[in-house]
Amino acid sequence: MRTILGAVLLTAFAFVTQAQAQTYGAPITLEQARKVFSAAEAEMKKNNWVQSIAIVDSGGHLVLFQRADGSQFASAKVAEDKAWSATGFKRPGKMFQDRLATGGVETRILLLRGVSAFDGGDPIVVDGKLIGAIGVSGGSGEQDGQVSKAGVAGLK
Amino acid sequence: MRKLLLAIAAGALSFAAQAQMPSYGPSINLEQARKAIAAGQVEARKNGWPMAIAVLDTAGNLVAFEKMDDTQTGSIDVAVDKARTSAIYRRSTKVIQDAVSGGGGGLRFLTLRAASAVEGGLPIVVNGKVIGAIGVSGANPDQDGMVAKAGADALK
Repeated sequence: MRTILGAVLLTAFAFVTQAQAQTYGAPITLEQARKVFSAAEAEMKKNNWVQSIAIVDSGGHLVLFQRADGSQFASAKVAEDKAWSATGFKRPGKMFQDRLATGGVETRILLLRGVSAFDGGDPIVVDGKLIGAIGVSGGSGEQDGQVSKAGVAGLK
Repeated sequence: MRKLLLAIAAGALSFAAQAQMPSYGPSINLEQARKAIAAGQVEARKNGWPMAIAVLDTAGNLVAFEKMDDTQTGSIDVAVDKARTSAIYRRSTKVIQDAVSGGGGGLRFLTLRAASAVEGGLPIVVNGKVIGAIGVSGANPDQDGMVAKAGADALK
C-alpha cells in the first residue's frame, strides 16, 4: 500500500514538475545578457577564477561571450555547449550530471544530442518564461556552477 | 624586355607585400577585445545597424562576442567566421572578396579552408603585430567593414 501511495505521489510530482516546465519566451536582450554576465563575472573575480562565460538566447544562439585572460581556450566551446544544453533541454547541466552519475538506464543521457552533463549551465527564466541560458567553463564543475548560478541571480 | 621588367617588378611587389605582412604578437586580452566591440557598437548604433561582433585571438579562438538585439541569427556564425579568417590568414576579408570577384586565379581563395570572402573581417594590429581579429556581420558587407574598422582602430 505504501509503495502504491509512493508511486502515486511520485507520478503526481512528475506531472506537476512537467506542468511547471517553462515555455520559451522572447530571446534575452543584450542588456539582460550583460546583467547576467556582470553578476557571473563578479563571482568569478571574487574567487580569482578564470573562466569562459557564454550567454545564449531562447533559440540557443550566442548573445554574449567573454573569455577571461589566461583561461584555457577549450572552455570557449564548452561554455557555449553548456548554455546551449540548458536552453535546448530546459534543464541545468547539473541535473543531467546527477542523473548520469546514478548509472544504469540513465547512462542513456550520453546519447542525447547536444547535451552537456556538467554543472555550469543554467536556464535563465524571467516571468516564468525561459529567455536564454548561461554556460560557464574553466574551473571545476562546482566552481562553474557557482558562477553560473550567480549570473542567473543577477537578473532577478 | 618590357615584359621581363614587369615580371620582375611584379615579383618584387609581391615580395614587398609579403614582407609587410605583420607577424603575430601576443594574443589580444579581454580588456582590448571589449574595447574593440564597444567601439564597433558605437559605429553600428550611430547608423542603426543591428550587428554581431566577434573578437578572436591570434590562434582563431573566441575571446569576446556580442550580438545586438534584432541581429539576424545567421550573423552570429558569419561574424565569427570573418574574424577567424582574418586571424588565421592575417588579411582583411575584403582582400579575399576582391580577389574572388576578380575571377580567374582569384577564385582559388574559395578552396581555402575556413576562409570568408565577405568584407567585415579585419586583423587587429597593435605595434605592428597581429594580436587577433574582429569580425562583424548584420548589415551589408561594406557596412560590416566600416564597423569592423571602427573596432580595430579603437586599439591603435
